[in-house]
Amino acid sequence: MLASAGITGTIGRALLLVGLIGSVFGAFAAITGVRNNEPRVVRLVSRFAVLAFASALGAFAVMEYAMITRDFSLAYVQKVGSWSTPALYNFAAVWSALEGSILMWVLILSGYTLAVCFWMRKRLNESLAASAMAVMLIVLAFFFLVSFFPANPFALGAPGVLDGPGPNPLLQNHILVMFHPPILYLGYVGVTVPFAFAIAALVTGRVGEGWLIATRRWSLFAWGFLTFGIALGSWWSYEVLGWSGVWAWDPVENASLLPWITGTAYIHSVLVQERRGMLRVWNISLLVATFSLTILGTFLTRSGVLNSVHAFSESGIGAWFLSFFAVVLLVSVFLIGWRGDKLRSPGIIDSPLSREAAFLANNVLFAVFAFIVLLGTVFPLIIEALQNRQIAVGAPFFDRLTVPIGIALLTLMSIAPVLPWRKASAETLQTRLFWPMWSGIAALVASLALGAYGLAPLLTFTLGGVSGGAALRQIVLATRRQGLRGLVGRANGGMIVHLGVILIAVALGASNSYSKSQELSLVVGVPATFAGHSFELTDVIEVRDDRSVSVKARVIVDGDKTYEPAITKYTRIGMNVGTPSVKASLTSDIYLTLEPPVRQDSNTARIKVFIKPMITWLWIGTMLMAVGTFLAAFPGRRRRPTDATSAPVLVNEKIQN
Amino acid sequence: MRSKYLVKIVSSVVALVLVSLLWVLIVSKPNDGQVARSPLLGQPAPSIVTATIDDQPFDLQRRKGSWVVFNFFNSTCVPCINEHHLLVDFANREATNDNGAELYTVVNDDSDDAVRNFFLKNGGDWAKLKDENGAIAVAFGVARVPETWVIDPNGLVRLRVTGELSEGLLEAQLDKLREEFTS
Repeated sequence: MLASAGITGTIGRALLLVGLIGSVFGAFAAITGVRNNEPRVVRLVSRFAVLAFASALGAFAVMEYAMITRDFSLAYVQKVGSWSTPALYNFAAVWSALEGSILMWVLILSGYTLAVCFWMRKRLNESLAASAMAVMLIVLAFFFLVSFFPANPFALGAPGVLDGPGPNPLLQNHILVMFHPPILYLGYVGVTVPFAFAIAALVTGRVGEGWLIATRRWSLFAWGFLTFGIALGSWWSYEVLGWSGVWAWDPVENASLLPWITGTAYIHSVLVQERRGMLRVWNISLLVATFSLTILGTFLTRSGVLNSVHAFSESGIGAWFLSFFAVVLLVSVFLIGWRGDKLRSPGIIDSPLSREAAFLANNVLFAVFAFIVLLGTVFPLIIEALQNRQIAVGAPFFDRLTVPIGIALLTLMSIAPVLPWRKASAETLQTRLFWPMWSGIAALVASLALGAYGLAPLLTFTLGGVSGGAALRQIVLATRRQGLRGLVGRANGGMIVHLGVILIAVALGASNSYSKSQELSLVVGVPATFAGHSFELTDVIEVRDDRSVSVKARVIVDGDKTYEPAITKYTRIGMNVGTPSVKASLTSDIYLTLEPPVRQDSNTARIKVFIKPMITWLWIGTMLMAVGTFLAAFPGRRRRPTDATSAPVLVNEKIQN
Repeated sequence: MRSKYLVKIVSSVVALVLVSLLWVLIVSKPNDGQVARSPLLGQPAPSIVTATIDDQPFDLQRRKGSWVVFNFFNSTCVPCINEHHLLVDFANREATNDNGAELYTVVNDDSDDAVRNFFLKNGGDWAKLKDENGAIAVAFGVARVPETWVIDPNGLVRLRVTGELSEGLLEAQLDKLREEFTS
């Protein structure tokens, strides 16, 4: 059953080599085939793409086979495999550490490359498509290279090892480990597709709107999965880590947030380029930034330069990613500078009160947001380089600066959907903002009536009302005209996504400002009360299995159901993990954790209770964002220029173009 | 809103930011294997007043003048068990040294009896410190065992090793620190 030492590893490594060669040759074929106008060479590109994908899939399958059969001849299986890890978590153990996660990146990227190749199969001899394929294959070759050399998952381990410690305990106690990393990667890696087309556009000089419009759905797809992956990560943090928060501004979290920030700016800003050919430099820069940030993020989290809750880093790999990051930046900046003239757009922004101006303001705000998060994340590195001492930058820095940005974004979200293109008159704005304003006032009144206080939360709720009104107005108008078709398409789907964002903003505002917590010393049979809820400890039990010992406190909340916060000791690794227990509801969550020290059969236990208002709306908002993104991918009906949502065109206005 | 100067200024600022970012990243030092970061490094150690498992008092302040090594330990944790013999060797080496480092085990979420039995079976006669409510672990920011910390004779934290010790690591790091300290 166990493969004899070395065979599995050799097969896996050979497959990686095949994939590497395939991608290099494929890139070469794409570049020369188009240069010399030889369709036969270009046809080779699809063959190489298939080869690369097949070898990546094969290598991943070999890795899984080794993990499932507990083949401890491989160093990686020695690191994260174990006989005592349950089957599902063992399958996910492949991506629980560096080498396996790079392998997964290779698999997903080769999948995307093949998909793009198939999508463009009839147009591969056009220079734009061929250049884009070349870029994708070059990036793929880089990752194959990393997987072949510094992050080799098939390296042989020390001989005679019969069992391993298994993956990090935090990756073994929740089913989300099966979903969060792959979904996040689908987003992270998917950014490569629009990036490849942007570089191709710059190289071939076809910097008009063609590449942008063609890659629209790819960008949306990647962005959607990135958003959902980040949200899943926050949910996991909430359910599993026991600190009752959803976002810690940890370097690894920031590494996934940074490309999301620039990516969100990008999917908005492209609307301006599509409509009026403007903001071309912004769009290409945002896209380059998004892709570079995925590489930078990987460097920050894998090189070990920053301490992190997620730490699964290894030195040596840092230099590879840093070099690739530098190359990507240098090449992109050079290309943008070289094509500077072609990128100059024919139109100008007519008025500060127009949708174009709003999107420009949006870009600036998101750029500032990204800069702040990036600065906070690398600040410890800056201080260490300049002053040779170590500091840690925590949540207070980020919270203080991002709350005003969030409020500014909510304000923009309130006006931009009602702003017409080109120029708005005060009258137009007044009419269109009528209902949103009133819903904002209603939201303010409702919040005050429910007992809300504090400037930031009240602003959030009010602006949430206004922007919600603006989004709903658009949806109502569209469904009135088109029935159910008024819910699909970019504009309408986008408004549904906005509604989801508003729910998330309101939920975060409420839970950040109005959460309460208390530590209760509970005695069996004696109920305690806090914040209007009662807690009664019934007993403290111990549950053992071959990888952990878990002490659970059984607490009856509000005389109704029993919740079991626990402390689990994973004996093979030497780590204690607190598992919270949550009573969720639409108004607030009651979050329980068990505080050490506690012994089984004890008749007392220290329970920490967190009351988190409106947290459930965070997850509802996320689902709404997912639904909206899905709906936005469908083609909507093209808006006629004379439709009600466009601005009225004055008779004597000179049309610029 | 169009101005050649605006474009030049914005591009120069962006270029400057990118170059500085690259410089910071290039000079940053990655994790040196198990030697880990901590905001405590170079700072005075937290005040530790506790008792050993034999109820002898212990106060970290009074250990100034010697090198102090804390090893956070739990008798059921496999890496702790694995590294134990290295600590025994280390203690023996330091015992022959005039200015030898003092080794203390900090009991992390374990019963005193279990720790006592473990040491009886596996050797090691240095003091084992009680950590009521995990306050010492929290003060140092210890999330999982084993972790080994080194404090210099002035009471400043100088080294943090996370995870199982490797052969010779502690001795080599301590020798390096001693050299820096006396120079």
